[in-house]
Amino acid sequence: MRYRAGLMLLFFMFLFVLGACQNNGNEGTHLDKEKSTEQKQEENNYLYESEAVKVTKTLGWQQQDSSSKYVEENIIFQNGNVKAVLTFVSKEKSLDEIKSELKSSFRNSEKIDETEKYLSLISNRKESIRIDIYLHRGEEQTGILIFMAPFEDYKTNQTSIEELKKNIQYF
Amino acid sequence: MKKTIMPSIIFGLLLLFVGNVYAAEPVVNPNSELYDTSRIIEELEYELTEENSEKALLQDEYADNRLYEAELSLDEGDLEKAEELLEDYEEHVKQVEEDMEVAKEDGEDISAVEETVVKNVQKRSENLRMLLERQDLSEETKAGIMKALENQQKAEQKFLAAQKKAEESLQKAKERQVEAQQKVKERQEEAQQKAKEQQEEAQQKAKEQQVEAQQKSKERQEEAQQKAKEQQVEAQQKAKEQQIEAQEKAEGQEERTSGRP
Repeated sequence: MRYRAGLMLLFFMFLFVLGACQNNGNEGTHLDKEKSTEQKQEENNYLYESEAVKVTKTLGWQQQDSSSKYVEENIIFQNGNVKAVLTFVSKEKSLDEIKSELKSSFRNSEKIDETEKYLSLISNRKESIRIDIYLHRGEEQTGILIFMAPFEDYKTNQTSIEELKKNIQYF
Repeated sequence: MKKTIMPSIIFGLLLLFVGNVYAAEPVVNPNSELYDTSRIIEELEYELTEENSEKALLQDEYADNRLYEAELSLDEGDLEKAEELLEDYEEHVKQVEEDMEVAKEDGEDISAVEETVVKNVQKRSENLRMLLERQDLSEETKAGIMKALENQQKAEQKFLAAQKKAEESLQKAKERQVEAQQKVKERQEEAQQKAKEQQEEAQQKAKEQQVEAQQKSKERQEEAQQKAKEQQVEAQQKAKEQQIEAQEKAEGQEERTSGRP
């Protein structure tokens, strides 16, 4: 009789432990779900994110799909007739070197303005393009943000350019 | 002394020129961390440009860049990269042709652009020939350059043919314009002659009408005079009759008064 009562007690304890485990398991799933929702929400808030940079969603701007083989290290954003390129180079390259090389890649152009971390150029063509380059010196890398737009569209799009600039966080 | 210095300077400059064909036009080194970004900038600049003739000029400039970069890669002994860049170079040359075709179809005036492109194509052919003379080329790179040169010559011939055609059609258009101007002149002269004749005719008619009117007015005047004369005669006749009647009346009255006792 005692033996039977002991077995029953053991059985109930087993059921209790099992129930508790299940409950814990549910709580775990619930926490996981919460976590992934948060994560998703966070992802949804960004236009682009990596270890080095986070670009918060900005009205009118979207990441441009490109079939170019050179896009790997360059993230391209687009807002109508305005394009933006975000890229990184190692800290070994000086700011002057970066500016000089970028000026070479926009060959037929004139300098409008230049500071230590900024360079503005305009192409000498029938359809002039304005290019504004902003540099951000990080601990390991230098972030380069390039805006390009037809000259006549640049002024009207200045606010959206400033908005995107503000929404870029370098780490 | 001067005689020995000058040739040395000229020889030195010549060496510099031959050694680096594009020395005056710097580009981003293909080994640079920023090279891919520079190519992205090119692609975006091309995307943002609307006119096809301008697009053709951009592709022409990019072809120049690739050739210079290929030369840089050869200088650095990176033959594989040089070959890759020569392939890209050919793509740009093809794209120039395509953009020019589209520009023509769209009715853009491409005469000036064509002239620039032809000049650049000829200059690049010369540079490719100079590259072929280098001693450090592998057979594959040589083949790549030969192919680029061949395509370049084809493109050059095509551009020249297109230019000739454009010149011919321009000449034809000019002739048509002269012909049209001549026709317009003839028609103008014809119209002037006709207008003159019409004016003379109108003047003649007006003169005739004037004479006729004068004639009519004279006739009317004579008729009126005749009528007036007749009326006068009639009035005189009437007056005479009235006078006679009055006389007779007076004589009758006189007789009646004298016949009274």
